[in-house]
Amino acid sequence: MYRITDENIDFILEDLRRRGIRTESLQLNLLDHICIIIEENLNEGGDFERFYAETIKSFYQKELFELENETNYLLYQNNFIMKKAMIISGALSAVGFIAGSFSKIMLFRITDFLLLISFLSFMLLFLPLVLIVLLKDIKSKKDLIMYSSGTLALMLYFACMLMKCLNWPSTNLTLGHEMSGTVWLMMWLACLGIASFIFIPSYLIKGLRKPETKINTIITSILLVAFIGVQFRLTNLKELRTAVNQHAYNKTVLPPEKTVQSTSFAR
Amino acid sequence: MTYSPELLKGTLKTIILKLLADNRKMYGYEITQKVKELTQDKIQITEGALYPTLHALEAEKLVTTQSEFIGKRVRKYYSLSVSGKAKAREKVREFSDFLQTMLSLLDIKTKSV
Repeated sequence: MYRITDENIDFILEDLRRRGIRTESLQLNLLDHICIIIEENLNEGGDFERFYAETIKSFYQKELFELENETNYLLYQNNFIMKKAMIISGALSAVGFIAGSFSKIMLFRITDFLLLISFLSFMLLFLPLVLIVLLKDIKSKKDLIMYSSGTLALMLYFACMLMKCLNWPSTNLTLGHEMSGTVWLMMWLACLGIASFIFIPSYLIKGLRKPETKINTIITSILLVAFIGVQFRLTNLKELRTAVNQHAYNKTVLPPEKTVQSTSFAR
Repeated sequence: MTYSPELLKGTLKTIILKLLADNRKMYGYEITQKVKELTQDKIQITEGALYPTLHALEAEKLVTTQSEFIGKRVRKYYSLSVSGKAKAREKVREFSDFLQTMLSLLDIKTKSV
């Protein structure tokens, strides 16, 4: 019976890597498998390298990396299309945001269309797909709350940004001026509220439990709180009160034809 | 006579899950030898089919792993998780039903075979 040496193990591992086996656990599985075959079938003092070359040939049809490809295929076949759609929608949205911003600077007519498509693709395709992919790996209810609240907050944030970019709160489309502004404000406050009171606490609790993620979690949480604080500053509650008072005044005092339009109350 | 890989491909997960259900924990080489022994060499699981399937089962959380160091190398033992045990039962039941359907479809008389 042949005794495998440390040099033999290094030789096999190096050869597996050279032949395209990159997944570490697959390397270790194959290493152990090959070592057992050699130990059981090669006589003491036998030609290790020659026997190894013969053994490894029986593992594949054309090349050894078929095993790596097959492993990856089986691991990712369920998520492959979804992940591809996620990456494509995310990349297209990012390109759309940049093109839309450039277009706005250059005062091109296509600006609104570009921004609308980009925001919609980001909110309705990219973010839900990210959530679905993340949900496949969740281990507890707390993870579910964290990922769901984070995604919802981001969706609301981008919806508000879309309305701002396209000046929707003041466009008086179907809801009426005050009403559309109120919808925007409610969405904006809901976004900040979900991020502040659900997402950040659940993220903080999860991260603080593991010593290796503690510092990163604290730093990220501080950055998030600071960002949300700055965003909250953009909410002009004073003008909201003015708008509500104006709306009440219009309804009670002035006849319908003399109603005064209030100003936008969220900057 | 050994069976063609195409015939075995769809049954590999079932075979592995059932073996792990009958044995507390097994490593890759042990699984291939056990299958050879139980089938009198009629079924030979290749390394190229076994390890990708074991990795997929691990990713699906149907099996759990336990590593044991043997000198400089690592031996990975596989055992069924709780969901894996249920899946093993389901797979065997499904395969049994499939066999009955195939017997009926191909009009094979089990006694004469």
